[in-house]
Amino acid sequence: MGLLSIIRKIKRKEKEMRILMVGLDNSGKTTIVLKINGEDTSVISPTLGFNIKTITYQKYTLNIWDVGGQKTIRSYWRNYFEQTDGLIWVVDSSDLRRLDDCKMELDNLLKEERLSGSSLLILANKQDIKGALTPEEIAKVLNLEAMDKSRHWKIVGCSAFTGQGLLEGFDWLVQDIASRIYMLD
Amino acid sequence: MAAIAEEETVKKEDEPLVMVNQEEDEYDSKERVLQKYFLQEWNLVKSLLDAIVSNGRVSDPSSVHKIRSILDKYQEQGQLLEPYLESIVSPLMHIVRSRTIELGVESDEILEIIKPICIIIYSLVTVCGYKTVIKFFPHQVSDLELAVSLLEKCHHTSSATSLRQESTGEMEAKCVMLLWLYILVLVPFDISTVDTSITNNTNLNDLELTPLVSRILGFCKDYLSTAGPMRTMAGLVLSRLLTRPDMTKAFMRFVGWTHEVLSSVTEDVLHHFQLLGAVESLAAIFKAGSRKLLLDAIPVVWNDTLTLYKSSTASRSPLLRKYLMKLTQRIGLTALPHRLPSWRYVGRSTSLNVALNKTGQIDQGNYVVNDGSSNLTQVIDVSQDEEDMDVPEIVEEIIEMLLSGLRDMDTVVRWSAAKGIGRITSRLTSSLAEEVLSSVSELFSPGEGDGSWHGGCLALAELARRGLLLPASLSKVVPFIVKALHYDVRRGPHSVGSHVRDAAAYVCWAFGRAYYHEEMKSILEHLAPHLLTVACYDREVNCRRAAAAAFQENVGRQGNYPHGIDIINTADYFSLASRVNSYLDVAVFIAKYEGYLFPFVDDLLDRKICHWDKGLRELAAEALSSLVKYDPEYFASVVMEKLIPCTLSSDLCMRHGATLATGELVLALHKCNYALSSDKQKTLAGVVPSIEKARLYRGKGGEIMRAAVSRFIECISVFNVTLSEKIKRSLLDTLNENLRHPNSQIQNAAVQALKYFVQAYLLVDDKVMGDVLSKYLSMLSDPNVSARRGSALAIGVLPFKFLASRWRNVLLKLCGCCTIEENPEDTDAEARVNAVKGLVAVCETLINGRTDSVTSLMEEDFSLFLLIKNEVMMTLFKALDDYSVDNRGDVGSWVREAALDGLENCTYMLCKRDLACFSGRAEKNSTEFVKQQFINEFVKNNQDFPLFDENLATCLIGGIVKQAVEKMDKLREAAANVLHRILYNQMVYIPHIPFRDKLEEIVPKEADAKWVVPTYSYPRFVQLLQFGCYSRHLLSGLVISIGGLQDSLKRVSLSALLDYLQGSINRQCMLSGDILWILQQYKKCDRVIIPTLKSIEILFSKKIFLNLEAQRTTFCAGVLDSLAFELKGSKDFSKLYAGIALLGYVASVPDPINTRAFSHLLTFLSHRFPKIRKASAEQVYLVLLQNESLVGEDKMEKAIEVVSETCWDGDMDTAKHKRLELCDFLGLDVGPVSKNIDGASSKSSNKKLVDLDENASYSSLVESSGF
Ligand SMILES: Nc1nc2c(ncn2[C@@H]2O[C@H](COP(=O)(O)OP(=O)(O)OP(=O)(O)O)[C@@H](O)[C@H]2O)c(=O)[nH]1
Ligand SMILES: [Mg+2]
Repeated sequence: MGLLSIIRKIKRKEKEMRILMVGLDNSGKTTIVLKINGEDTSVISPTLGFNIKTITYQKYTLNIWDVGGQKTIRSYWRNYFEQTDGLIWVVDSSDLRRLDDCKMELDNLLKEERLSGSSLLILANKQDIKGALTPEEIAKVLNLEAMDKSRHWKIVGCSAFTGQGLLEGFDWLVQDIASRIYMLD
Repeated sequence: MAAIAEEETVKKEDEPLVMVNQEEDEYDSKERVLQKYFLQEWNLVKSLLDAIVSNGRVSDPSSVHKIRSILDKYQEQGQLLEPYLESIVSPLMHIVRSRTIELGVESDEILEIIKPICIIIYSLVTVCGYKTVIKFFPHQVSDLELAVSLLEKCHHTSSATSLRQESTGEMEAKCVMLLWLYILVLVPFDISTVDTSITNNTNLNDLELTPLVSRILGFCKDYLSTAGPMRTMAGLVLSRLLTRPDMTKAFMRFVGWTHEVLSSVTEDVLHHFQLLGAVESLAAIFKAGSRKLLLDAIPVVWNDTLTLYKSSTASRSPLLRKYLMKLTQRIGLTALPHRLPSWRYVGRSTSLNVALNKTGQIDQGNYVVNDGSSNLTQVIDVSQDEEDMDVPEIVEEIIEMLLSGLRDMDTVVRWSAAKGIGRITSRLTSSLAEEVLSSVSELFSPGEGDGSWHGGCLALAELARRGLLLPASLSKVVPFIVKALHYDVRRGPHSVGSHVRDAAAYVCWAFGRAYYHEEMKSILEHLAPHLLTVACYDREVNCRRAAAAAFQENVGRQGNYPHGIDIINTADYFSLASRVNSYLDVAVFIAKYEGYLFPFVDDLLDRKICHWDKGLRELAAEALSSLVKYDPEYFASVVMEKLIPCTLSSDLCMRHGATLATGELVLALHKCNYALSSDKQKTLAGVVPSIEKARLYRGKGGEIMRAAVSRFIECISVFNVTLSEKIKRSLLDTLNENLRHPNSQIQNAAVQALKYFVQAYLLVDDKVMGDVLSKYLSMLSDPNVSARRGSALAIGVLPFKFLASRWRNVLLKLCGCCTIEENPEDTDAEARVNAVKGLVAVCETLINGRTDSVTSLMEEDFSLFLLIKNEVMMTLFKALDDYSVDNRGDVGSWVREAALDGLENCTYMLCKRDLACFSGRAEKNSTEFVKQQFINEFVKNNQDFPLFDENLATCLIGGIVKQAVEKMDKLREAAANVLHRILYNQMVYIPHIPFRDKLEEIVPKEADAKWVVPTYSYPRFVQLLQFGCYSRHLLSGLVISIGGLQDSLKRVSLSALLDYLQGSINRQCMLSGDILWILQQYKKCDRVIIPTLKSIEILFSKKIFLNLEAQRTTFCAGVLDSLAFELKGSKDFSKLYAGIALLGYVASVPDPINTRAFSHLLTFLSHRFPKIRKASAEQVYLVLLQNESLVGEDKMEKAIEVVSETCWDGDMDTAKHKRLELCDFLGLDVGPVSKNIDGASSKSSNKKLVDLDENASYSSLVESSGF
């Protein structure tokens, strides 16, 4: 294999990103995926398993893995970790009662060393609902500041219904991954 | 991403300008073409798919093959298909799933349904990669059991063929089912809850594994022992299944199983596959699993790995070593905690952060951002805990094994090892990483082989890519890379190292990508000359392109590298494709920028002038000379001083290259008007004598040196380097010796050199000139063919002064050499070709010399032209008829080609002269003297008639068009082009050409040369059959094509002729006459006669001639006369077959002449060749059927019986007997069948012919065939 074919391979690889989307059930993951893909979001049922969506964004191909968030499923999340470039953690900002639960699951997830190299985007979803916490408040509750210094992360408020904030969040994630992808495997 | 895409356009400006994206190479343009193409083909694919979907199965198997052959075309462009993947895969998988549910796995039909579908899906997998395809596989929990059952069903089928094209889908179905399982085992539910075979009363605790899992494990293990692609896929399934949280038990069991496999190595082939499968699956498992799960398994697995790697089994199998490398690195990665080392270099994120901050300000600000690398450029501070990290003991062993993998003799293994080194090092402390780097550096020591250098480069590139090669270490490794860029080790007659050079370019490329431009700047300055040297001068195109790509990557990121963009634009993917272009254009362009000239010269001198590839040495010499203009002084002093001693080197390559290069250098200096000191000239004058003194013409390299020396002499002659008389003589001897060398390259080089040498050094002395000419003239009749070949060419390059006094003699002598030699021992096509060329060249010299020489031939002037007309051109016409063949084939064609060329030139000479005379006559106010002169000449030479008259014009055009319709593509094209030039000559109008308008119509002025294409040329040229002055010429060429052996040419030429004849009785009549002329003209010349007979046969079969009234009898009689003469004594089967067929045709004609043909035909029934007897019997049979009147109805039945029931190719006596019986019975006269060689009857018989009218011609037949 000569340089020219390596270059070709590397360039192709650089344009592919694998993004894992997790969070508690009912937080709106599937709705978000459908929304950014321009699909109908009116009828949605809980994900009993996982979905894979391929979306092109700029020159990149994003393979988004949306995994169900129900309690029984969570222990299988780690089956999906391999080679994850970006992690999206979706929070239902209006579900104040389960925020503790949410924090615990996120902390568990971040302990996972196979995810340690991936960029983390936290989507504070359902901003359209009255009484939803702001991203800053969510950041505080989740104690994001205490996160490992080497982690690239960002929290963005959004609504899967209006689409607000989604572009900003994905854009950050993609650019962040792109900035280091040349040395990823 | 519709919503995002909309806004994307607005955002464009904020996009970080990370890199100059210059990747539009040939590959991308190919991609674009294919893309367009695919859109067209997609419709076909889509319609075939729709049919499959609506039928719920493949009803037409050919549709599968169609789809597959379309998909296969995109093998390297899989991404083109990706947008369509979902619409192909989803509906197909839906069929698989729904039909299985509908029919039940038990049914046998289901397999027949899924196999063809899986062929389609699997071809997508091979084109796009499995990862892309399986995204579109359904993955509901309930599918798991279904897929397992289906796979189990497939598992027992086996394919009847190993050919992909013939596959009936067994292998494909297995693969697709395995891949489906690969995604299905991800379902996030406890498998035991999915498994319907677990009934309520099964006690779960009693089961080690759930039945479903056992089933999967069962067939996966089977597949691990196979040779096909299922092995890898089974490994993938296992890697996901066994790393599930609910599979710990199964995982431990599997590891136990692999331990057994790995530790019990046997020689068995099946076991070898199992071994590969086990290692491959372990590598996959170690990639997928979490550390917690895997840690416990490490000791056993590592131990097995290490032992196996050292075994002889591994040393024999590169594939096994590759998998072992993979597994090793995965074990290492598991053993080492995951982290991003803080010492890592992260230079490249700068521009992004800047860009991100910008976006941040535009936003509403409802986010918080933390960026791990907010300290932008590099982080080298080593935190305490990192250095304290304890590294597990086995890591050292692992690194050692990976390092040894870098040295492996197989590329795939080195690749794997290099990746491993990169990944492992990214988890080490900086001091350990330092150690790794120094171990890698050791690979670049002189004692190591090319494999190590290659592996070392790959490892460096991997380290750089990951930021593990710190800028501080760059300066340490750059010297290795520079060496690697030029790595080339002679091995026997060749050398190795192109893979090392390619990999070195890869390192430079990786550097460009990895390092912030501040760090890279000085490194690039150092590397650039080397990279560009490789880009211009590497022998291998992939290395040239690789080096250019690396340079481009660096320059693109550096931004303002001096002349970077200009260089990139010149040294691009396409321009470097050709070696000549790289050497002579690209390099010369780049060398004008500062800093490249000397490295380029050094590379040429040190590595290319002495290269093992002779062509490369020649090119390098030329390349060197093309750089002279940039610094003539340097070349004249330093370079020349380096080169001249090398002309005496003991290494042939070196002395050959140096001799050539010195010569080219002198030539280039001459072009720069550079004056060489007399010292230098003296040295140059001594080069050839020294070479000869050292006896370097001897041995293997002698021939190579001879050509180079000639070229050298040519170059110094052009320069006019001062030579002593002695050296002049010795150089002339050298050239003369080379002139008579059998190798034509050497000869040509000597001729070329002689041309300049005589002009520079010999023009002064009359005696020398006379001697030289005499010598060459006598060589023309030398018994040695090489001497004849060489001397003819040599005379052709002699200047006017040499020839002036003896021109007539020279011309006549050369004319004599153009004709085929009388003594068959002496025939030599090359000698004749050279004589033709020399002859024409001499004519030109004489004519041109006449005008610019005082010693003009005034008096003899006219006789020169007459000689050209009467002798030279006639000789050339004869040469145009040179059809001699030898074991190399139609060697006469070389002579004919040269003759065409010569005739063209002579035509111009004569016409120019005619024109000059004519305008001289028209000149009213010319001096009395000239007028008088003219009148004298006029009277004397009958100048009212031009030299180039209509007769000559007709012969010329006739000769050319004949060549334009014969069988050799090259000659046809050459002839058509000559004709074109003659018709539209710019310098002088060629007069007296009959039917010029028609010719200009046939050969239009603006024709874009399509003359090689027969469908273009034949229909045009056959038009000339209308004109009596050309028709016979043309036809004698045309029959060669129509009756020849090349089918396509036959078809095209025949159809052109038939189109021409279409419905015209006149044309047929004329053609029949011309054919008879050919039969007369070329009697017993099988080269023409056989194709002519065949042509007639074909024309008869198309009913041509047979419907003519009066002409038919004449024509048939003519043909029969010819056949009687030609077939007699012929042993040529194709001639005999064609003749018999013709007799058959004529015998079937409703014309009294048929009897004569029939009688002749019957004689072949007792021919001595059984095949001929049989062929004529068949012909007789056909004739009888077609022409009842020939024998009369009453005898018909009996005759047919005899003919059809005799075994004609059997016993000869029976055949004779039967023939007699037949003749007797038919009342045909027949001579007794005698023992003569032909088997034809030899004495006339007493019996009278039935048809008295035919008596006369029959007896003439009898006479002429020697009955
Ligand atoms: N108001 C509001 N409702 C939302 C928003 N996003 C999602 N929802 C609703 O939240 C509910 C759950 O959405 P899903 O997308 O199914 O949530 P999920 O994270 O995929 O849940 P699981 O698949 O069970 O993990 C649905 O009824 C959505 O309509 C939002 O931004 N605003
Ligand atoms: Mg969902």
